[in-house]
Amino acid sequence: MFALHKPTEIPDSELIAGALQGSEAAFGSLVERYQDRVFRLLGRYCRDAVECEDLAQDVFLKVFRKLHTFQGDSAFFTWLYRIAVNAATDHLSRASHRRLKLVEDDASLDVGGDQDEQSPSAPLMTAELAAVTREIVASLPEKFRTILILREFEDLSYTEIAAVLQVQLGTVESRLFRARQRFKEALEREHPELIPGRGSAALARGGKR
Amino acid sequence: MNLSHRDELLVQRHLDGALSPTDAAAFAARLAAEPALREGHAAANAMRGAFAAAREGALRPRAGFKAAVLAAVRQLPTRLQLEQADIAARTVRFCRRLLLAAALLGSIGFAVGAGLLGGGAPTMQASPDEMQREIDRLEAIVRAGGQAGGVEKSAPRVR
Repeated sequence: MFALHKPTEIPDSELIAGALQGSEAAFGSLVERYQDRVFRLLGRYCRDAVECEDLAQDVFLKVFRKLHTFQGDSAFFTWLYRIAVNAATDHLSRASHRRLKLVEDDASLDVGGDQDEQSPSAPLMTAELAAVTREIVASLPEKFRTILILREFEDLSYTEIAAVLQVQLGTVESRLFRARQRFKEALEREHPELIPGRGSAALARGGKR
Repeated sequence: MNLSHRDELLVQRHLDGALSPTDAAAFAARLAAEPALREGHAAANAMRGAFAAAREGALRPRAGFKAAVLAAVRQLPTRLQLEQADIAARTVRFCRRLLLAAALLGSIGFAVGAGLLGGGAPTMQASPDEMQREIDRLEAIVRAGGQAGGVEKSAPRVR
């Protein structure tokens, strides 16, 4: 699922060892290797490029500071994801509710305007569905939001999610189930027109990976 | 469509690719044979389409991001200083917890000693010996009363 680097590339463990010995190039390689993933993950929490970059920089600085505590008993990326998820949730709890709400409202308003002006079509439905999905996921309680992000957007396996969140596999499964239920209920309540079987073709696409 | 919770979890595991090959084969056989399960599976699969649609449009780092991180790293203390700071912070945390635990235990000990937690307070419960003594006392009173009014009781009144 997570083929993080090609076999010919330097393994993470060597880069970590190099970084611990003071090699800036080694740490730079780690940043380069994971920066896209970290941005993608953090972008699910803030969706503002500047805010996301600040947060990503904090994450990598924390990684640098704590690198000597990485035991190597789990994959480096799960350790990195744990730091990133913790940073994102801390950031969310610190950030003003008003500011986050504005970001979300802007996203949903854009989509609403398009829908009013044009007749429904497949790309528009997909765009609307995407915006609505992001909006609902963002409105869920943090633990449901995070597990949906890790599974549905980051494509992590149950085992990887368990390692990132430091919970049991059974907890991952049950929390994921409840998160999906909450998502479905919200979609049915707020946008019933997007529910399968009620005139939406967009939902039927790309369900199973 | 009403699936049991067990089947709903099974559908979730199947769609997440979390079933073992054996379980996946058994599930596929059930899917072929059970229309309700098939319907539930299709509905759950369709719901995943929402997430697939929202997966696009992720933010990407700008070109100079790595350089900015490395520049910030250069401002940090040396690795040795970071490790020493980490050890110091852990020691402080440990000592703080130790002090807190000691304070908590001390408080509990003080409260018990002072009888605030019911240790020295009188209770409504009697020991078996006390109960037996009380029964004996009451029986003695009854016997004494019986002897005093025995004639009166044994001779019914005739009006």
